[in-house]
Amino acid sequence: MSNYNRGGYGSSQGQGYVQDSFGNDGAPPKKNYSHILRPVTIKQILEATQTQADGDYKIDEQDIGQVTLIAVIRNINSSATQSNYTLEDGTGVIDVRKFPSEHDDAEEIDSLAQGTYVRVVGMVKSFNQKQYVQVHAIRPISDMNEITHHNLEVLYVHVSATRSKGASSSSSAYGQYNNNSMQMQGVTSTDTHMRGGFDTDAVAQDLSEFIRNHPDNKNGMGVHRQHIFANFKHRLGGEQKLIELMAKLEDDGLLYNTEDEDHFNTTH
Amino acid sequence: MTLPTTKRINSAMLQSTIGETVRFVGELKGRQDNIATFLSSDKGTVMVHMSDGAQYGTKFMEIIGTVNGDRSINEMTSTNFGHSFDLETYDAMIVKAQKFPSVF
Repeated sequence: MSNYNRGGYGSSQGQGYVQDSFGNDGAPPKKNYSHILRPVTIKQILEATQTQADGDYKIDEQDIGQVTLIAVIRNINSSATQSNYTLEDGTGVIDVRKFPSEHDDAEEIDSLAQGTYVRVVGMVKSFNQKQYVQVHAIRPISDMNEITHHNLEVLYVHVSATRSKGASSSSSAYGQYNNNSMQMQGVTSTDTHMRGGFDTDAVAQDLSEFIRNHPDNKNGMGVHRQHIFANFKHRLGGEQKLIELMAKLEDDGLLYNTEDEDHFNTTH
Repeated sequence: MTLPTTKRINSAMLQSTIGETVRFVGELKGRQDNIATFLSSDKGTVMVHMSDGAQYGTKFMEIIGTVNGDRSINEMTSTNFGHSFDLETYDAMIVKAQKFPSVF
């Protein structure tokens, strides 16, 4: 990934992406997002943007295909042809609609009572300019730790999608998002690089590489800050700048403390 | 149907959310009359004025309610959160979530 970043942006625009060569016949490359399942909060759905009427919804500038969310059922309105559930997750309220299916587990459907936390998988649609989710699957969650997990996953995908550089897709299920955001933001970041005095993105990249390959880190115990400072403070023009960069990387979820506050490991 | 948005909070965030409706997860430690005592995810103590007829079925509970001036919570509704819930990871999650108001 690091080669991709530096090599791709350094070379002339247009050569970095194989995909571009397919666009030469005039037709834009067809994008198929329907296979992507994105974890979201209700707020993200409600604030999703539509580039044109009846167009695809976008979150963080990316088309959304299927979404998954966790929320509490606050109201149920069932008819013979369709069940409507009003869900709320603390960030907003949205209706989800489910068509009855012969594959439905009657017991599971009965357990979808008011006040139950449920996991929903579905597609974002709209009716009268109001978004709703057409349900593919809805089930009650039995382990509440799934809520913690879901919200962390939402954050992870959001950060991966909005961060311009330094993302890792090698081991990530959401690799597509990283790549897309890089394509869109590539030009801007190149500009910044030319103007900026210190190339903090490149330093961040090298810093995680340094930590990852450091001999002290073979058991994932992290690297002491003194080693990091010794190797990187000159590149940013002082220790304070490095501390600021590391704090930012920590906020972005790229760096974390291991056994104590002096040891750092990288997430990518 | 109008429902308030509720921020997920720990005991340290109570001060800044006085008067707001919040979502709080804690471990039930005790109960006297209609006041329940919870251990919060950041290891603080939080008092909850239980709603009429409230039933706490499990060791961990999620309370939705409004924050009083004395940093206690007036319960509106509650959800059983089971007998094994990782409060530490939950706390890390809500602290991170605070920094992303566009998502939560």
